[in-house]
Amino acid sequence: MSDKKEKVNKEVEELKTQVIELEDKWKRSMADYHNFKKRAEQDRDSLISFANMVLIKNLIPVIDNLQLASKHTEDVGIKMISTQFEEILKTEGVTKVEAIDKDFDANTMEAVEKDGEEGLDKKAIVTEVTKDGYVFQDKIIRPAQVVVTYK
Amino acid sequence: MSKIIGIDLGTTNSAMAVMEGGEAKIIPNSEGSNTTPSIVNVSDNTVGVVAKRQMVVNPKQTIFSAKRLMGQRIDTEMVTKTKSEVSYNIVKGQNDLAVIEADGKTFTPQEIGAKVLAKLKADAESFLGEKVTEAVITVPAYFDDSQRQATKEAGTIAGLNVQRIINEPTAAALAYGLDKKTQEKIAVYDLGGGTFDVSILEIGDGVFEVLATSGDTFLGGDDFDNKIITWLVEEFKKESGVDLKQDKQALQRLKDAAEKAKIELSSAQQTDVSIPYITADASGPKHLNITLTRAKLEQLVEDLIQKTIKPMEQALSDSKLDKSAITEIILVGGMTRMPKVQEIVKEFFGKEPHKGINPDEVVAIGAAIQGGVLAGDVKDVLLLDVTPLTLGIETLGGVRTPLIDRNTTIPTKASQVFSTAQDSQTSVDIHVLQGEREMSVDNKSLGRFILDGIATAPRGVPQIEVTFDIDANGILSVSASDKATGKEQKITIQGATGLDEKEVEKMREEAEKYSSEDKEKKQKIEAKNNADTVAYQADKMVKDHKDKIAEDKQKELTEDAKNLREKLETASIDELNTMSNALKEKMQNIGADIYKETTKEPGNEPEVEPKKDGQTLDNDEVKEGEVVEEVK
Repeated sequence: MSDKKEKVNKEVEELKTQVIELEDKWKRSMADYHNFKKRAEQDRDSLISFANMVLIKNLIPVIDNLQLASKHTEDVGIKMISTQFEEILKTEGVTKVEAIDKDFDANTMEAVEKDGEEGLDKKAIVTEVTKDGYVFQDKIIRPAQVVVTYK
Repeated sequence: MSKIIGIDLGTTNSAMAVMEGGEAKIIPNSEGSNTTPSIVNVSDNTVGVVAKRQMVVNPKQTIFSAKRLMGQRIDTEMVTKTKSEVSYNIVKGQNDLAVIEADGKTFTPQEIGAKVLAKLKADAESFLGEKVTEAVITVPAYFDDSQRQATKEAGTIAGLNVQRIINEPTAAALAYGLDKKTQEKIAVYDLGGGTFDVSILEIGDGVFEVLATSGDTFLGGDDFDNKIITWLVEEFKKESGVDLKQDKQALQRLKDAAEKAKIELSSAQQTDVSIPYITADASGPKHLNITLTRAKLEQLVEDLIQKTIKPMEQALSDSKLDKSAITEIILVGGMTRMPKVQEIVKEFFGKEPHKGINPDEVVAIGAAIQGGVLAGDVKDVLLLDVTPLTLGIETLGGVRTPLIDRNTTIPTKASQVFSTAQDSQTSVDIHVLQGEREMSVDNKSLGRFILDGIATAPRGVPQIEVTFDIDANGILSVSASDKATGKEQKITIQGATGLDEKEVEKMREEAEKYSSEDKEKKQKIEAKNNADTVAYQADKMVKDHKDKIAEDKQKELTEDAKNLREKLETASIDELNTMSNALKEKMQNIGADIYKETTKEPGNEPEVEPKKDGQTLDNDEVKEGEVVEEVK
């Protein structure tokens, strides 16, 4: 008789443990789900404001080349087209990184060439911009590609 | 216990992942990227892409490839070769180990690794919204004890409790679920940014054993890029006579273009490398416009790919196995995206390698899975099934109305309210269907039942709630309940989710094939049903408000309704919809008149519930203009 009772008690204990385990797992699942939802909402919001940026990022190399063409030609028409593209960027809220003659800032610029040597009293100044950098709402679309000189 | 994240601390790039909802998920860094360059500027402690951007400006303080020095003695070949590739100082430290001298200080490789790990940790905390203190970190299978210890130390310095150090090939195998196999031999081919590793593993009882490793520690994606750049420079010289090798800015543009071309050729057969205004000489500006075919690229990098054959043979011989003994092959590292690489591996082993998981992320994912196992998450792996095919019921016109979409994770529940199709209909026939076709006859019938005892009422009035409930075992219960009487009927269907893969595929393909036909059929029926309802409503309006509608208007409504009914079978979808809408509009105008009539005496306004979401709730609770899905 007590043998059977022991068996039942044991089973009850095992089931109690299982319930606690399952409750914990369930709560974790719910928590994961809630966190995922929160993140999904954030992602969706940022996607909406940044949806166009992927497209603009892909077009920027073309704008680069058009600017190069504009620099190397007397053709006023080409210069006008290059300006038109830059206007579109402005309209979309994309701003150019001010780089020339400024201190080098790795947050908005990428150095491709260095002139001169580091020194205690020397500062890294941007002396040439090989590719313009673009920013949208504090996010870098493309860092400016620059030549840095230690002065 | 907090989550244990998995970290792939790579030579060139690092990545991290965590288990969430039973699945490993890559954690993006604060810049939004899934991978972080393993680069540190020790003078301002910037890590990752920001450190990479200023490498050229501060070459002596920007440390990269520190992993090569981890736990290495100063006099080894690896250290010597690394010295020749970096611009920062590597000197002898304690116990003859290699250390880095930069910014007037000395750093052990662990301290550099720790800085990378610290950034990953901070970014993970920001992403997950909770503190991260536990991690699993991966290392190459050939790392010795001293190197493993150093890696663990890097974690500790970064504030992480390194619960385990696991091998990179093992992590990759975990990511592909190969720990479920028994007594099998696995080959892992890892061609990453700067190193090539091949490992042979054996799996048994959930434990992986490394049988052999080999590789080339200085072979990676950058070498492939350089081959393309060299060729472009040669071709351009042939075409224009200008040697771009001395032009730093041109080389930079070539570098970007070469990497882009390499990636494109993994999916396209050829690509145009187009760099306008690459340089200028006496005759004016010059443009580079060269077509690179996949075949040519494969030629250019052939010797690099061939370099991976010998290590594969070496590893096999060291593990005393024949190629045929290898049952699973895994591809790791970005370069394995190249079709030629995949081809070589397949040819060598005579089997198709696993490559479904992003090769840049697979090691971090495996580390996260290990983390999950250690945290007890994955103990009784809660694998949730999905229902492979859409489930629904048959509605007026033989249409299939879906209730649970295919690929819905189960357990799940879905309800929808339906109504009767005829006046005085006292029973509804619930026909449960499974499949992707729009017409019920083209779907699989899972069962049917009848709910009767519905109070006599005009069609569209009764509210029958149909609920589909699939439990964790895939057992489907379908119930129909009359909201008015509370009467309910239900059936239970087994095996609605356990279907043969081939059968499922076949049904999906058929649905694809007939999708536009099906769509049209369904639209036609919907237009018909809608038209029929509108005609019915018009007649009802005349009947109910005989005394409030002018004689001629009554006649109009009755005529229009009759016309509409006559045309049900013959008119096109557009015609039916146009006629229905016209009649509805007439009814609305007449309805407005009736309302005016009724409220001529002030104080007589009947209480109408305020509009909820733009609907008026009238007695029938039938949404204005919407076709109530009806059940026979």
